[in-house]
Amino acid sequence: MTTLSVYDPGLDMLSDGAVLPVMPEWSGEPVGSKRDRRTPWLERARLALHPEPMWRSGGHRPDWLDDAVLRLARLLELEPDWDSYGARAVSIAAADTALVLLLGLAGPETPAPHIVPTPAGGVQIEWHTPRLDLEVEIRSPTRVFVGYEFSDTGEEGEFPVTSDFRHLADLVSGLTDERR
Amino acid sequence: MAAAFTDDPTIPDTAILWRRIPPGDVYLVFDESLNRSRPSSAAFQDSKDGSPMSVFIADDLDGPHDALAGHDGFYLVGFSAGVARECGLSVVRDPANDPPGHAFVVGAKTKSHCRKLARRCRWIVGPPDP
Repeated sequence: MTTLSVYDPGLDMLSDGAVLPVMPEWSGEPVGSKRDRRTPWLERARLALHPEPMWRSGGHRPDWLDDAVLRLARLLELEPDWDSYGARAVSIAAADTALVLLLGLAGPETPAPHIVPTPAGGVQIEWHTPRLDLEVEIRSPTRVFVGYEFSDTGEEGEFPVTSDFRHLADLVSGLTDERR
Repeated sequence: MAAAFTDDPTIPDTAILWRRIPPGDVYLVFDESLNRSRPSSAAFQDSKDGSPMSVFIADDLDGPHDALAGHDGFYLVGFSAGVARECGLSVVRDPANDPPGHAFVVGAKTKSHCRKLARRCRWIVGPPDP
């Protein structure tokens, strides 16, 4: 079992006591292999989710979680040049990081995220509510960038996330508050 | 090559630029504030080979089929050159004109720029209604 240690320094600041899952070490086909990456990744995700983490808010499993896991697994099936502009295949590390971030930052009351690939082989998690556009781009486990824009005030910004997740966590909490 | 990346004033702000979008739901998001589906902002990043974002100038083609040739199932979105320029980006023709009508949207694209393009583009060949 390997911890995504890049997040360790920030755990106290983002998790409110939640226990983040640990993604087991990758033992499937080598990255870039054309062999199946979906099935072994799903197996790892299931292991990471067992036992169930304590959710950040509320006590039940988010309704969107299974769809998010399956979506990430599907993105791993994309072949290089999937966008016709030379995109890279989605990396295992990006999928891992996306799942860990979702589990750490989003709860059962959070709206369902959109999850899309990026041309660089990363993953972008997005929410587009009436009030807030929020995008979390995972280029690698150590390179995460956030962009946001509030429709009511016009406030917008973007920032990299390294070890301090508080600003990002506040934005995600804002999505939840909007639904209440 | 630097001269080739200077904004081309012969391309008016009203010129519509087309960009291919991968098939299915790869890039599809539902924007609640727009109350419609649109491509993700990730669809408007530069290419990974280092070349700027690739587009077609709609008026230089016979129709959407030209931009989609060889890309079965792909969708197509359009946005104006003026929107790109509002973001501080330049619009330049491909010096090689290969394929014909090919152009680039040049410049550093922040997440805000990509989001603006994603929100203001329109489907030319879009996904079926849900």
